[in-house]
Amino acid sequence: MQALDLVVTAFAICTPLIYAVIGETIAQRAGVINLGIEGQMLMGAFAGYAAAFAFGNPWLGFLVGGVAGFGMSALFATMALWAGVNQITSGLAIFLLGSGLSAFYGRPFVGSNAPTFPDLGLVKEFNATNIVAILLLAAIVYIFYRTPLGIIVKAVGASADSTFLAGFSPKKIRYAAVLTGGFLSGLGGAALSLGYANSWTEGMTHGMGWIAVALVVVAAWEPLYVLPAVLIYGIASMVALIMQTRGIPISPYLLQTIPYIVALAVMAFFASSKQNAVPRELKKVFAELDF
Amino acid sequence: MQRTVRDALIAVAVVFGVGSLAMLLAHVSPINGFGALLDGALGNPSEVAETLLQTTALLFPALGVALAFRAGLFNIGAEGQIVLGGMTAGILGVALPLPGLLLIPIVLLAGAAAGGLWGGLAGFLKARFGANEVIATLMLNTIALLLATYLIGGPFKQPGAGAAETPPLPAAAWLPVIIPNTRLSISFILALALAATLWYVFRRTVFGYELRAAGDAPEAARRAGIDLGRTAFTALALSGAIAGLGGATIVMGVLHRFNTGLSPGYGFIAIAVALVGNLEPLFIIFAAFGFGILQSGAIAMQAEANVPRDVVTLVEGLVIIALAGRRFIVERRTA
Repeated sequence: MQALDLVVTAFAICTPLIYAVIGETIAQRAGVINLGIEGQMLMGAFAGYAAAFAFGNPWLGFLVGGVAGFGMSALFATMALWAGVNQITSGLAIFLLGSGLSAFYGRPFVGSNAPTFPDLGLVKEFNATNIVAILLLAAIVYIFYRTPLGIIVKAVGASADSTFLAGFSPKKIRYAAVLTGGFLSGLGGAALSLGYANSWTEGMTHGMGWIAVALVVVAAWEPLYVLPAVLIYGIASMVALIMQTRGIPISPYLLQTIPYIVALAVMAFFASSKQNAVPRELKKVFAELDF
Repeated sequence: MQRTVRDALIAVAVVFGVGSLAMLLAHVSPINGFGALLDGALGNPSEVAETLLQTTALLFPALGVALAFRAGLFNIGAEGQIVLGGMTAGILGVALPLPGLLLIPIVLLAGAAAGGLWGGLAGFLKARFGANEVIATLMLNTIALLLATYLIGGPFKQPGAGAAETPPLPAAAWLPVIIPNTRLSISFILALALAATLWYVFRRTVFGYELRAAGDAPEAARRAGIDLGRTAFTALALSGAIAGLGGATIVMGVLHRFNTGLSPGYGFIAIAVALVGNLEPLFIIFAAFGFGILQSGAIAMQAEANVPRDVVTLVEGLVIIALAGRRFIVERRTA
């Protein structure tokens, strides 16, 4: 397989992850960790597919998928930001709730035929969800590094108190960051069911939401590194597959552990080094576990 | 005590309230739905035994999670610790040529050691580098599953093994059954004994006090001479060992072989169980029993009342939300 082919295919496979990782990066940079991504993605995948089926239009389905993720993250925000419940607990509740809800209401749609995004015929397996992912990612990277809004989000994650003194509302910005993240992870789920798999099955994300958390860390909480981190992950899994088909005795399972081990190493490195990438407000969340 | 009773009532109310609503939306009468669930979980002695089996599977990781919580640490890696504990038991139970009297304790301990190693790894990263244990244990979950899949299909592949599983354990490695004609083994008693031990440790020992001090007032604990790094390491290692022991008992008492799907999320549900039990080992027993009923009745409910069993996962998520939310309501009122 050509190197370019490899990158393009890896990108196509990992598109749902791009939405989820950039969404979670935004939330975490604002100082909120939302571990409910897996549940949000499942809701996005299910609701998106169901809506595409009902309306007969994949674009409407895609949008509804985003709204489903948004709704789940609104519940998370209500718990974690409004009620002040521990963020980790809130996230796990959203994970269980999203898995249960999507499987419960998704049963009738297993094996059904909703209109999905057709291949565009540009490069292989490319459809609209891949293009939207690139555009959204570019827009978010631009906003993050080049506009006042991006600076404020980063500032809230670095020090909510200073941001408050500067005249902004850290809470409002955190709501916005979490909800944006939820919408994006919902889109990611819908990109999986409507763009990649062209079907809905319960639990179809198979842990993508957890991989997303790992990749946020691998990307060192920088939106700019999201694409490289996701691509390296995708290429590693592709290489594992290729090696397997050619009989090269490297375990695909061992190869798949690499992103997680890298994430652990990045965590350990940043936690102990002076130049710290972990958003400071996030450390506070970890420090006060009075759930 | 009062608080725990109130929490239990909230949990029960959420289960029946939301569960009924979900059933009504699925056009099933809640009476039929819950009837099927309770009947499937407690209808006859062998079903009660299956429910106690689920209780046991949840009780081990919940006790581990609670121990870490006491030290202010969030172990969301019980799932991976269960997998590695179970895998170690599955491999050694077949490989060690020992009589049952020796084999069983050795294999159980090995399973605990494997889980402890995994929890301890997160503890080490925390103590040595200050790496947060939430993300570390989360990463280690997936690594554990991938590693187990690799090991049992590669270096430790044994003759007679299927895909993603080890060959069946010899009868010498099976945990003795305590109710004839059921699968309920001494693992249930072991779990209860562990809960009692932890109750004692939390309440009456210096170590229990140190855990609590490190969790509730780390700065004061540090000044009082408690080594926070070492406490974090010990707490996470022990927490992992307890979950790993649970994984070993599933392999040796229920499945009689290891397969990578041995835990349908016990490690995550255990967090809800520990919270519902207010981190008190004796209350956690009852919380585990409650969730055990849900787990074991879910399949009967699906088969007999045509309610998708996923409603149980949904309800479990909402129980966490309700219990986490009530703190807020109570605090508002008293503030």
